[in-house]
Amino acid sequence: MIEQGLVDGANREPRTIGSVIAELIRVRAASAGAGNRRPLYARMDETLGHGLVDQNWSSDTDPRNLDRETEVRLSRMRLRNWKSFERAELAFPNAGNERTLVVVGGPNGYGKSSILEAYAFGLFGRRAVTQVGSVLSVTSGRGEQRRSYRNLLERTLHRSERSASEGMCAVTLEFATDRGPVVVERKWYFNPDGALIEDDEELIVRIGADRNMLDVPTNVDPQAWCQEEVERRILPAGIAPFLIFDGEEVDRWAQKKLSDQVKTAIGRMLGLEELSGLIADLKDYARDRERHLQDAGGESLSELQQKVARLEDELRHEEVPHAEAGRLLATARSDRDNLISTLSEDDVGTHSSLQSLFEENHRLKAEAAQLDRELIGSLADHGPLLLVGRTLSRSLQNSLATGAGAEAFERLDDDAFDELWARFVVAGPPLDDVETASLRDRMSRAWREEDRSEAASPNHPHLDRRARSSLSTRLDSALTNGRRTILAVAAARKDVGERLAANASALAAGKARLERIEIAKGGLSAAADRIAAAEATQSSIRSRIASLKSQLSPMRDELMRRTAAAVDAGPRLRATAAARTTAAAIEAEIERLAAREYQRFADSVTANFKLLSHKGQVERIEIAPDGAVVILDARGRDITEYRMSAGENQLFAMALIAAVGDIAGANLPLVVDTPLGRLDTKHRGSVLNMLAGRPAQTILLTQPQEIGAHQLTELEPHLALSATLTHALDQRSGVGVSTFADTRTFVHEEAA
Amino acid sequence: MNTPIAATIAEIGRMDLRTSRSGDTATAALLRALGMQYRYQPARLAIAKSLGLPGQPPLVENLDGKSIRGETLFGQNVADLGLWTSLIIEHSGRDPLTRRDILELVAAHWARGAGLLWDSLRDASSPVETLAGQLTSSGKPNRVAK
Repeated sequence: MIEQGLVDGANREPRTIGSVIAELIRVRAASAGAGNRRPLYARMDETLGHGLVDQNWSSDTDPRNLDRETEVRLSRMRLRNWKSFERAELAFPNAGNERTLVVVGGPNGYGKSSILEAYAFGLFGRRAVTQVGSVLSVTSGRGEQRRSYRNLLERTLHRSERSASEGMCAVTLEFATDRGPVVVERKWYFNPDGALIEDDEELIVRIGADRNMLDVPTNVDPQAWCQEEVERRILPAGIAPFLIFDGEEVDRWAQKKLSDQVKTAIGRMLGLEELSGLIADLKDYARDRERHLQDAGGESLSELQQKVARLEDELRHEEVPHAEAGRLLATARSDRDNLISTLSEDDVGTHSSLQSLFEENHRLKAEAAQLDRELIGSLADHGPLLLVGRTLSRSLQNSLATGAGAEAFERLDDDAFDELWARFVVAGPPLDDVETASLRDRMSRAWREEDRSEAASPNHPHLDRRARSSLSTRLDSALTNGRRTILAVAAARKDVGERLAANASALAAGKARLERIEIAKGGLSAAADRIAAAEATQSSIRSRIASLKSQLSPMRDELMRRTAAAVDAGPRLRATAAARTTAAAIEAEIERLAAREYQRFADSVTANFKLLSHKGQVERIEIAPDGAVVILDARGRDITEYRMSAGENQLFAMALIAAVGDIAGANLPLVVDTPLGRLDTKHRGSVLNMLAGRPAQTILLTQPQEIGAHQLTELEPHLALSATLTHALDQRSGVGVSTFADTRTFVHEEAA
Repeated sequence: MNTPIAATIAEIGRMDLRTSRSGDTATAALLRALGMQYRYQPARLAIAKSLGLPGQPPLVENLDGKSIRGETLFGQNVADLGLWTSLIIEHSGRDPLTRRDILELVAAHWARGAGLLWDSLRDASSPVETLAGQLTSSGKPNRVAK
């Protein structure tokens, strides 16, 4: 599946996560220990730049796991210029499934540790420091690891070789596997000063009976690819620390918290540490590349795109209220103009004319009131006699006149009558005698007093003559002038009334106009408020729009520039995304694997611990998914913290290390230097028994004090080889040289 | 009481003249309706109104209205007092009249005239104008009904 996903690097087809992870592991392995991360990132650019076709990954399909069940046995080790070994070779015979134990003994300084290091460095090169040594020996940062690797190797070169113009040391490891022989050859080269030429390190893998070199595919780093093949065919680097270690280090390991031991062990066992390292590298890589993308503009292209999109979105959102404010403003202005027009029409002269009308009204009312008073006065003065009327007035006048005539008669005598008659006759026309006699008789009778007494009317004796005359005149005047006066005043009052009505009408019209003006003014004020509000809104929105545009303009320019640049950066963006996706997929897989393997691991640790411990106090060891360890006694009591002695802690560490080997490397060689370390004598036997009982090859590099003759005898049924190291001064070079001597092989009957 | 008044116009000026309660009430209503200041003004109009009519007014039995002094009702000068005394005498057709006759005739004319005037003006929107109209519209104002 992974192989199918692998495509030519030039062909930018997306890949499966599985293939990418496999390649990245190879890439990381190749650059392990290198201080400069740039080459690693450049390789990751290539690997990740294709993008991914999937987002999930299961390590179950990892082809690196396919050979785990394969039995592997170290069949031969050749050392050249390796520390105290100038040239050395040790063959490890196949003595059958029962005899898998190899004991190489020698005092300190004879080369036991050199053999362990040769095995580790031969298999893993730089990764012996970064992957193997980091667990059971103290190493820290990459720079230190790199220095350690260099320093270790520069100290490794056999002293006889240091004088050579170009020094070289080499380790050759031959393995017998179910799939045939595998030979791992690694060579290191040094300049005349004895400094390691790192780039010249050489790894060759040969396979098969003919020992043919592996064909390295094109487009891969040959050294990294070969390293991957070593780990795939022989021993994964992840679990190597539990199959290649110094027993002295177990003591240090045992001092760690149990949960840390467990987490590290399980991580290694499942290859999680390698994957965790890969996760860290992927995240570092993504950050680095994103930072590079950001460096151009302070932020990533996608962030810039999002920012521009967000601003454009905000701009679009502002356009709606802006248009609405514009519409409101136009409406309000139109309303205002209409109102102003109305006002200008209505307002012309309204106030002044109204003022005049009011004044006129006031004057007319005053005039009307005056005329009312005059009319009332006239009615009071002249009304009574007008109401009395002419009939009674004439009657009175007649009565008064009659009374006045009588008085006149009283004053006249007959002489006067005669004189009057004479004048009457003279005045003519002439009358005949009859007429003259008749007329004189009538006049004479009228003249006489007795005739006056015949009058029927009252004679009003309370009035003298002067008063009668005055009263009669007054009656005439009253009837005539009184009527005239009232008519005149009434007409004047009517005229004023009509003018007042006209004035009131004009005033009402003026008031109505004034009301319209006031309403219009109110509307004008409201329109002005609306205009001000709309203008304020529009101004505010314009300000925001201007602000947005001022922000957008340089961003758009930058985006265009960056977009153009991003065409070149496309693979890098893809790679960044792919890195994060891959890291997430690995994290998910780690979680899945850990949950699955914890119980199995706990069972194995429990079994090993019980085998090692004499006390029988521990009944069960439980391991929680978070790595927390609980050691329970037979009663189910937790004795994790207070019942474990220092020795038992060391046994736990051994049990745990062995469990990793049991689960992940049951068929792989175990090489241990000083295997019994600082164990007390009563535990040494059980540890030896446990190691001797392994089904796979177990190589113990021991001191004479660790395994004496008695114990060696007891181990004899498991022994395939027992060898002793010797060390002697080379007379020619004056340099100490170690060699294998006193070698004894134990050949299985069937093998023999 | 039956003393002739031939030379007693001044005495009429000093008389307290009054009419009936109802005549007085009508007089007060006329005072308000016509916007006049003094009670004598509508009272004089009322007497004149009755004098303008033919026939004698019915005598008033109870003279319980408020009084107006003769010189106020008809005028302070002798001419005015003489004029109205003459009109009352002329209308009565009797001569001479006693002081009592004068009192009774004044009361009767006052009562009749006040009632008639108020009846003609009570529903008018402008009693002043209506009265002015009545007085000036024709030469026969006393043709008002009743």
